[in-house]
Amino acid sequence: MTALVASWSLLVRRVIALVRAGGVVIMAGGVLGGCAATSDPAEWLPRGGGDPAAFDALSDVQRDQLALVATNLVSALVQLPETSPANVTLQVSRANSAFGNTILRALEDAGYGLQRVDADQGSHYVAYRQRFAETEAGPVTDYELLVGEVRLQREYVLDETRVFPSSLLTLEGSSAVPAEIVLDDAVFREQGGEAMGSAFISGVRSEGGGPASVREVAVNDFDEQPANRRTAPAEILESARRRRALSDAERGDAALDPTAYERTRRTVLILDDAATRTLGAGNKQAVRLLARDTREGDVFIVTACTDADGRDEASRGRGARVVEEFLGHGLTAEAVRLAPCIRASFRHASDDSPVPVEIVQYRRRLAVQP
Amino acid sequence: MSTRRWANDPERNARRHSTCAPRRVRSPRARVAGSWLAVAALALGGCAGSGPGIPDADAPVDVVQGTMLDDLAAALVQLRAPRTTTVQIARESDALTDAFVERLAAAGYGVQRVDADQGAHHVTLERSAAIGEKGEALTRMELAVGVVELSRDYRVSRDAVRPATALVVGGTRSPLALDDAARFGPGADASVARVDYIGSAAVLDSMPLISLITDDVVAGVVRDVSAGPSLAAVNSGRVEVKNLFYSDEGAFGGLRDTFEPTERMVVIFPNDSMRLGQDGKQLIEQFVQDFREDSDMIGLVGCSNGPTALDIGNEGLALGRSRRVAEELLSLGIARDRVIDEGCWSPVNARDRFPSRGVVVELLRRPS
Repeated sequence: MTALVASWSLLVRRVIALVRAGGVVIMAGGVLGGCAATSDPAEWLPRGGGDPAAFDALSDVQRDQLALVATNLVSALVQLPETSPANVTLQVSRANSAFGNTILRALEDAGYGLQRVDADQGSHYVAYRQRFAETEAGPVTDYELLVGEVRLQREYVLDETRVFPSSLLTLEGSSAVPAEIVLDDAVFREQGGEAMGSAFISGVRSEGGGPASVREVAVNDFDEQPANRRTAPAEILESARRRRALSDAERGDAALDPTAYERTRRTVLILDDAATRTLGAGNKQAVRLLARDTREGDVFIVTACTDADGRDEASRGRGARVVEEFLGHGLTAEAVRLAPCIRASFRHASDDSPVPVEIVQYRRRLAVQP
Repeated sequence: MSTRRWANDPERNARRHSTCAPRRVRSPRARVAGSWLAVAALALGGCAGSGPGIPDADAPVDVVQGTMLDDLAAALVQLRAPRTTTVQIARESDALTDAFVERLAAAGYGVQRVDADQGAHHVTLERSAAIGEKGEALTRMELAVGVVELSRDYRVSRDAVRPATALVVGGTRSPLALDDAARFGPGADASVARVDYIGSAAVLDSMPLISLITDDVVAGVVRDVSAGPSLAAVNSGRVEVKNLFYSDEGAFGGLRDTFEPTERMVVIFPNDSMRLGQDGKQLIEQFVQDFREDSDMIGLVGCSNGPTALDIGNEGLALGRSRRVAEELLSLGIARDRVIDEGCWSPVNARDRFPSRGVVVELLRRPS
């Protein structure tokens, strides 16, 4: 444990040194190479209004840094079972700070339902905090996001051009297994690093315990991406949300014990093409009717992939969309499962004809009901 | 407050707004499920030509447009409780929809931005041009939030707006109070300060069949339909149901477990007929007065037991009768997902279990 803390402390110093040194280099590059692409402040305002004035005192770079931090925290939040965007609505107050605006926008982009409140009403009230600290390793900024009982906190070091995590992400109030949370920390590498290379720590530790998952992310100068080629925050959030949704849907065994469950209903939704996420009125109505007649213990098995062995991402996306629709009607993640691929038909990769998604409703047999 | 009959009735449809929609100005993502109403009005009324210039959906929303949005939002707030409802809206929506969503957010609704048509309360808003009975240009606003549909025509001038028709509501029977006088001023036509309830839009054409999987089917021992009575068929919502004459448990066991029957009546049909008649309609209208949207469902069992001369047989007659009652319920504003209809059919009498030629209508209530 002592060795771990020592190496962690060393890493923090290294990353702070990296930011300071690299900042000078990149600033010089900016002067020599001309202007970098600037972002539109509206991109980081919540769609339902926001406070543009909150960004007035910030440069484009500082705004992008805040966006990275907000995205980093929210992409972890969407992976927690207590705060799944599919079935949790968050309560928020109007944001007056730049960090608050970027947090609200990130929550919105992550697919959360946001309910405006004038005080701290609601069981999923969103609070956030930004603190500056002088540490033995240098100045760091501590960012915190609270949603109801859940708290996420992480320290970052920022300079004029870049931001890097300088601590593990601390998680409190969640039953999530830290090792199962995927932090999209690789996105920080796109800012580039020193010519000699450096690193920062990545991982999640849970309340009261030691680090549960720690890895080192190397950053080199050649990692730097031009501003217009960096991963968009919305893309990171969508990816985290989808990863979580798929993980939930695929966690349960899709091959149910036939002695414990009986099949009661089956329907086949037809989606317009392989890439669409739109279900259409008829399919939505079918899901609504299926969800309506759900007894406790019922399980819906969704099979979207019938033309491939192993994995097929497009099919997984369609299946996840149907699962999402069920969750939107109040079903729990345990009650809707996504089946793995079964090769039952052939479909060419370029085929854009309508595609089926099968749903089978299983009900516990009366004899084995607890 | 008046009650409107079946929305597929062309005559009544034509009367609905007393206008037609010669030109539809659709926002890119706005699709209202109930837009067939406007199409029907166009086809029947034969109106042609252009309406007045409807602002582009991305144009800034002025006070006049905002008043129409306020009108719809005020109605929606009475139908879906803001603090407990989260609505879904397309991530990239137009200015008109954004302005409406801003009103919903201010009212306390949760707002969830989605990339497709996710959610139980997905919002679509459409503004189009319409022409009134006297040829005057009107603006039609159509809103769909999940199964609830609201539609109204307005007379718009440069600095004022007045409702030109009643507020048409589909997919719900919840009572609504309008505040036209306060919202639109003393010039508002009092005769249109009312709510007309209609059936929700039909989506059955595009709805997939929901099949039952019985043990018999799984075991492959189901009898040949031509050789014996059928054991399952499709109801009015394209959900396969069991023949209750041969089964003790219906297809909606999960629902029946959680609801308790509180009222029961039987609507009797003439022999070999699916005509409800005026008496049947009145009986049903009276029955739904006690319907509570937040806790109730309506169970139907259409029956035909005994000899029939019709080609469709007892099965067609039984399910046709329950379908007819289901349609009537929908036309009275009951949402489709609040109705479960099944059937019992047999060439012989069911004695006391089921009526020979009637539909058992039950009000099912979730225990509080």
